[in-house]
Amino acid sequence: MESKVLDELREAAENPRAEVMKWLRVTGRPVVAVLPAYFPEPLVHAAGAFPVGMWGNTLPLGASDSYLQSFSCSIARSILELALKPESDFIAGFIFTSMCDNFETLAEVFKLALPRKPVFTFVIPNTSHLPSRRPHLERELDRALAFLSRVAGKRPSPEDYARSAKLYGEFVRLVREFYRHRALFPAALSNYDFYAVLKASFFMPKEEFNPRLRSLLEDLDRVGGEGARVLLSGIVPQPLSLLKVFDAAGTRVVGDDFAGAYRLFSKEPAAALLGSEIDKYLLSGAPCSTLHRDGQDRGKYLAARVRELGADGFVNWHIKFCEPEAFDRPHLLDELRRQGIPTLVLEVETSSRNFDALRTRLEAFVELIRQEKEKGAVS
Amino acid sequence: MTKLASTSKMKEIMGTYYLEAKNAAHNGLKVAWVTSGAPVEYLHAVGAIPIYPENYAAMCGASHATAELLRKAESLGYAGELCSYARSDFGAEALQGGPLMGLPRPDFLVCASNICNTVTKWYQVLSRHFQVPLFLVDMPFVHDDISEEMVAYVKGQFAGLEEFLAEIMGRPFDRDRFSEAVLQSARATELWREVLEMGKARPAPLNSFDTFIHLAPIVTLRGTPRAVEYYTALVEELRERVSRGEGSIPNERIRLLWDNLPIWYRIKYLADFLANWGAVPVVATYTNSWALIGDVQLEGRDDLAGALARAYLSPFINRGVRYRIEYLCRMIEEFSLDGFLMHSDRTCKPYSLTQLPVKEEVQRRTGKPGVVLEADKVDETAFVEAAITTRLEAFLESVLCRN
Repeated sequence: MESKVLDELREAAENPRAEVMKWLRVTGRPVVAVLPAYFPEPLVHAAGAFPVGMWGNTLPLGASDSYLQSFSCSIARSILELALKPESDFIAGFIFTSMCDNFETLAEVFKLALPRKPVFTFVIPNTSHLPSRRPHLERELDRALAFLSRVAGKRPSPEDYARSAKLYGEFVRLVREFYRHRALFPAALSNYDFYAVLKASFFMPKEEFNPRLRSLLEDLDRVGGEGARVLLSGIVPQPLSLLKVFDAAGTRVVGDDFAGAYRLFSKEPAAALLGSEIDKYLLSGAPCSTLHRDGQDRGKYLAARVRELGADGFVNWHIKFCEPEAFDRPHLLDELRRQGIPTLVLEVETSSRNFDALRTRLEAFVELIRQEKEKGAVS
Repeated sequence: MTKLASTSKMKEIMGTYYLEAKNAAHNGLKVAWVTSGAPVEYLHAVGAIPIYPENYAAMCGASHATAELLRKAESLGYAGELCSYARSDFGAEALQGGPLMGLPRPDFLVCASNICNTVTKWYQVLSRHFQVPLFLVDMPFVHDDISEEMVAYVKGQFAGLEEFLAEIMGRPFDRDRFSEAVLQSARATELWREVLEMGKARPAPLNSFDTFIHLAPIVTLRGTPRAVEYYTALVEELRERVSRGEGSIPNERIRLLWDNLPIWYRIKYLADFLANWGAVPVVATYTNSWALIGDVQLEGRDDLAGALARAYLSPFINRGVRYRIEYLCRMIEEFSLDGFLMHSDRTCKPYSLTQLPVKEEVQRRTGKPGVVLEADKVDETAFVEAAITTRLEAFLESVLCRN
């Protein structure tokens, strides 16, 4: 489909720097980079800053090699590469979370590589003892607000926060509506365009993004289309251009389980400036490889989602050296296969450009699904 | 490696420990698999037998039994980029492999995240595999200082751990036994620190490669009288060596620090290689981590849980770069070092991923050179001998030139 709004959002996803600079000029709000994953973003907005999602990029690696070994994941390496560029100097501060060892240490590397840049790490509780969580989150909230008031110049009031929470509540409602439409009418947009729109949301103020997505939703066709319906899972759909290979291979991505997409948008923004509300936010939504919950079984969860979405297959989109995801993978694949769901694993780096081998494997997978469907139709 | 009379004693007590663990179920005792930085004093208080898969993975590495285990783990779907300790553990469980033909099955799991987030994922896998309860003690990475709030957070979880253990064991948590275990732990870690401080002597009576081997009891038996007994004797033996002026190598010319985990399958090779140059690591950030625990335990008698929380948040691997830099500079000063070796462990991100900028900063502040050695703790395929020796030779030459 073609539309002016879609062009604009695609452009934002493909040229993040130009997009962010545009809104920096328009709003005058200091840009705060929000790194993976799950920092309660409305806090940044409430403090009067412009939060920008940073989930890795396609830059060739150079300067970052003197700071990070090659066994760091490419999300972390490419973020550092970008941050080291003089053109990134407009970024006022960087927010990390304790999601994994790679990002905890990246926050530390930032302190030495970019000594003048304010860096904050939000510690997400991962404990079997639930009563410990809330007092801890009160403290983390307090630390976060102190950081934001330093970087953005303002400590948000409960009223400021309530306004931001409302905006973000509207944002996740629209995004979920977008997902629902996707599952029902996957031919309305290409796979690439669907994820380009979601990615654009990282680089635009939500005040600007929300009306654009609302207008796009109104214009979307209600067409199902042919093709292999797949559920994607992984840490983040990078590089975005790999989705063009999914388009060419005749797949319809009907849903996903990316930490940098569905898992993020499935969380309900904290309703108020309280540790207990931040706790509800963190516990809400889809399970994640980086968030410990006792007794959680992501294998069963994903099998149920495949069925719920009417997907024909499951694709694990693995960014190399992502440890939390790689630890979960054997169990996920075992459980999905046990339930008779076709699975495929694709390994990439955020800067991968040559997809020839992946294309061949994806095509074979689509063919396998087609045969399975035929068998199903006959029997 | 230094010939120490205590080595045979250590082999004996470690043998006894593993034998008892193997027979635990038969003797009606419960077995818990725990991480190396878990607050094991709580387990001793309830009479559970702690088993350390990390220690076993190191044993497998040192005895060159890892390759088969890693192949097995890979066939189960565990990618080569994952922690090689975890992969060894999965392989050893599947094959009942390694020097002890596998570890005794756990009744429950206790995982503490003060050494990495990796263990959280590793223990989730174990919990699903064995279908046993897992208690996760979350000990956040200390980016700046250990705050009172962090200590309170960890103490809260310790209280939860007590409840978890009482339920599993079917009896109330025993405070007296707990205090006794903390006391034993504090004594052993204090002695362990004495052992490590012996490295300050010139020549050093033992080196870091020795301490990697003699580390086993402080990891696996702290909280019990056996560790205290063992290190009392080791301290005694080392004192005598110091008084006789006996060094760990014949001609000590270059004193170094070792950063990160050992390269278990090449300990002897590296010790000999360095000794040929008159070079010897006399202090290691890794072994020192178990000495930090004693520090705080002795100070906190009135609030054992708080003291333990502070202690277990302290290890080097759980600290930010400012701490790491200051710590390395202090060691260089206190142990009169000429330079430092950094093992960049390909499958240990939290220990390794800060090393490059930390190295630059420590060199700048101290004027002492460092070198990064790319390898892996137990995965032998990551060790490229020619590359390592070339780097080491260039490094040692530069140290000699400066001296």
